[in-house]
Amino acid sequence: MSLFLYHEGSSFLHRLNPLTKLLFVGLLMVVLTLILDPITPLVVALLLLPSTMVLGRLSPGLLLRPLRPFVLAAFGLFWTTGLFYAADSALHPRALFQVGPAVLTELGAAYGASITFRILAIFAASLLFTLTTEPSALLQALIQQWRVSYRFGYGVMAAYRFVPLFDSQLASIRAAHRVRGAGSSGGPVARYHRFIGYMVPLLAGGVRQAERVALAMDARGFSGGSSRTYYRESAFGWRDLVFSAGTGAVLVAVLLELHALGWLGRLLPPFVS
Amino acid sequence: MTPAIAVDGLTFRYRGRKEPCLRDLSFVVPAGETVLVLGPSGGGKSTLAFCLNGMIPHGIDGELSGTVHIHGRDTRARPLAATAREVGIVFQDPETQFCTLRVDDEIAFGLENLGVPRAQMPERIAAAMEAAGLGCKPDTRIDHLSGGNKQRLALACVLAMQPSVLVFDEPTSNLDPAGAVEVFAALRRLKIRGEHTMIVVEHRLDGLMDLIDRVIVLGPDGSLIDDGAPRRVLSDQAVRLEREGIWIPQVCELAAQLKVRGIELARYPLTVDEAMVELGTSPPAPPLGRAGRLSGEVGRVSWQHHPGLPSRAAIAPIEPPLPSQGRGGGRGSLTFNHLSYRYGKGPWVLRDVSLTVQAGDFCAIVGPNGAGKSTLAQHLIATLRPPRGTVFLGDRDVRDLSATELASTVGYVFQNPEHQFVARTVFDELAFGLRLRRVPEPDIRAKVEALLAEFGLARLALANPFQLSHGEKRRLSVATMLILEQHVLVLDEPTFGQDRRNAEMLLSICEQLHRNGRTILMITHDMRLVAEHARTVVVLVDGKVVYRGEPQGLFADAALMRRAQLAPPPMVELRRRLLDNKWMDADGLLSGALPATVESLATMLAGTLAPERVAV
Repeated sequence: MSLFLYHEGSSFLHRLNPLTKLLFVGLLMVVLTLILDPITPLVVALLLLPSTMVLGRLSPGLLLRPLRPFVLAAFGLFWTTGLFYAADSALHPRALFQVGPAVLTELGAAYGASITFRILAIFAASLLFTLTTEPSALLQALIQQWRVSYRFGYGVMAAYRFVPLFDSQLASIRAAHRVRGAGSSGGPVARYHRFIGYMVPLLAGGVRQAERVALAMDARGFSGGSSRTYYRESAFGWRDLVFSAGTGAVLVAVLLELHALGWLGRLLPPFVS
Repeated sequence: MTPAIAVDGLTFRYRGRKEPCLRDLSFVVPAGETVLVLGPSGGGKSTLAFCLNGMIPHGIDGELSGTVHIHGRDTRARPLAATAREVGIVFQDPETQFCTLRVDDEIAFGLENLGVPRAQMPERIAAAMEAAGLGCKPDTRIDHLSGGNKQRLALACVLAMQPSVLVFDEPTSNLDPAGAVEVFAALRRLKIRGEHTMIVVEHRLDGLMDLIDRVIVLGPDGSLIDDGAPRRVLSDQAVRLEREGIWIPQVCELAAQLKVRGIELARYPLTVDEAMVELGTSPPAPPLGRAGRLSGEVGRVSWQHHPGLPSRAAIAPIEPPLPSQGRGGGRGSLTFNHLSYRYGKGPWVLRDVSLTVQAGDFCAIVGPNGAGKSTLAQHLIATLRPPRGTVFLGDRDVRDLSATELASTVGYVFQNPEHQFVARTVFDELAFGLRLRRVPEPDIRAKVEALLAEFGLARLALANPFQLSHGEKRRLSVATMLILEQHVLVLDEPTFGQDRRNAEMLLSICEQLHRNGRTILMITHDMRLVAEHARTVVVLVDGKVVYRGEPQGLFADAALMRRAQLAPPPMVELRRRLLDNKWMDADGLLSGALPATVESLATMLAGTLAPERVAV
């Protein structure tokens, strides 16, 4: 199941309240969007990946595997943003690379790098979240602490159970259609029709299944009302405090240091020119 | 004392339907009783369950009249949650009654809804798991449980809420036999504890009847047909139940057949044990010199009842799997040649399988879940691509066949008929394969219409396949697999979750195809099907073929049956015990040769118990 990356465990990161991690990722995103330079996001990413590995007790492979498609995308992103960045090129006309009319200036390269590293850092932060957060724990926290409607929350949880079920049903439908001779050849139009052909039985079955789950939930008193209690308490604890304080301190220290070096917020850091 | 359940004049019509689903039902169930509800599919059994736990009228729209009282309290006057905590339902499909990922979370869900304090939850969860016979750890992931254990979890979820009434709505119909045994064992434990009133809707009755105190029969229009002691009801209603397509215990079928033949047993049997008691531990002494001759006739009669059966002598003696060069015989034969397979880097699902299914065979593949049955069959349709030289259709390597050629050689009927539908109307569904092959339209029309008529679908030619009834969808999915005149038909669990009428209809189609020389390959858990229809049976355990031969030989090998987690169907069991007690061994007629079907056993018994009637 590739849709959800959660890796079971009981590390420090696993035991954090999901909301703490969610807030951390959100905060980091805001900070990184406000700062446009290549160095800050790179430093953040380089700090994040190993500490996620250590604090989450995750193997390097677990972290690097989801990053693989990113490497390819980053390569494309760097070149496209770099080549098409034209602002201030009169000021810094030094070209690094030229093919025909396409020129990669120093500034363009810096811009490309800053966008690419920024996305890498955000990606690393969301890996910290997804790899160590059990989806149902997140839902419980949202319901209990952020007052998300429990009917909505449990609905999402029930739907989440369907993912592997749909997966196997889709495989069966595909095989069944192939046996009918509804082959795999043909252009985009044929492919589109085939896709619709898969969806009809999948959705017809899905609606019925969803109905049955809803009935089964109601039959166990789901509509009970406000006196609901919770088996797994979701609350903030000392870990959340330690994590927030720790990450906050490191982030501030990094930003101050980069500022002192004169790298913070400068597209072309002083050591280049 | 107030009864646990009192239903009075209950009528319910779903919104948007013309006809009521339940009609003027009245019955009373005292606390502690276990009641079996029988009725045709779509006959309102599940609706009754919803009426009992308050979902009707509080959760499901429709028009209700009459009353339901649970322990003297009117369900209409109480909120759903209050009734729901007293009446728990275990539903049919183990995949669609859970909303969390872990066992303890799932059991806790009901407790949370009731507002049970957190501190009490672990204890109640543990107690419920114990009572349901669920032996795993509380933090087990639900998707790691077997089907039978999922149903036990569903039961534990309900038990944790401490209801007084339990409703089981076909709890085993999506399970393999091993799963059904697990569920019945849980039911038995509850029955022994005696704390619950139980309503059981079920159509797998063999192995259940000893728990039942009373039977209620619903008719196709949702009215009450009968209500009383199991023995009386099943005896009085045997013919009617058969007509409505409702399964009854096979032993009851046998008793009904004996009745038709003029033999009434003193006490109508519900289990094999009871049947043996009724028949006596030894056969009546036949008039000297007559038994042999008569049983000879009986033997012949029993064959005639099965026109589909070729004489046993005509079946080629079963040989061990062909050696490695083995390329099966003519068209329609199937050969697996040292086939091994695993998914990715997982464990081996098939281990060096070598197997030949002769052209024209009716072969059943049986074995525990995960033994590789479906994996083996999927190699025939190239859903899984076998290495060259391992799988042959006739004398051609599957790898050499194009998708089109393959589709014209092998038909494969999937478990869920909807998965196979590719067109908007029944007619187009059947025409699909022919149109792909550019058959002229008039020929298509003629062929499709002939097949529609044969399968009783003619009046539905323009209907949307998705809107057919369950049985009609089944028939259509089989028909689509015959339109190209495929030589081989593979069926995946054809009788799984089917009512008696649909199952029998489907099997009679297969018998007819078999008579016409088609090769039939069935993946199945249904041992009755194996006993009554299969000519050969292949047993897979852990990806290895451990038996290949006649069903009789498999049934005779108790150790093998245990190893493959198979239980003999009641008629096989009865026949074995008759043999053990030296019934009908004059001329060795019973030994081995007599098919273990209700009909042939009834004929044989009739011949022995009342020879003069058979002679007539």
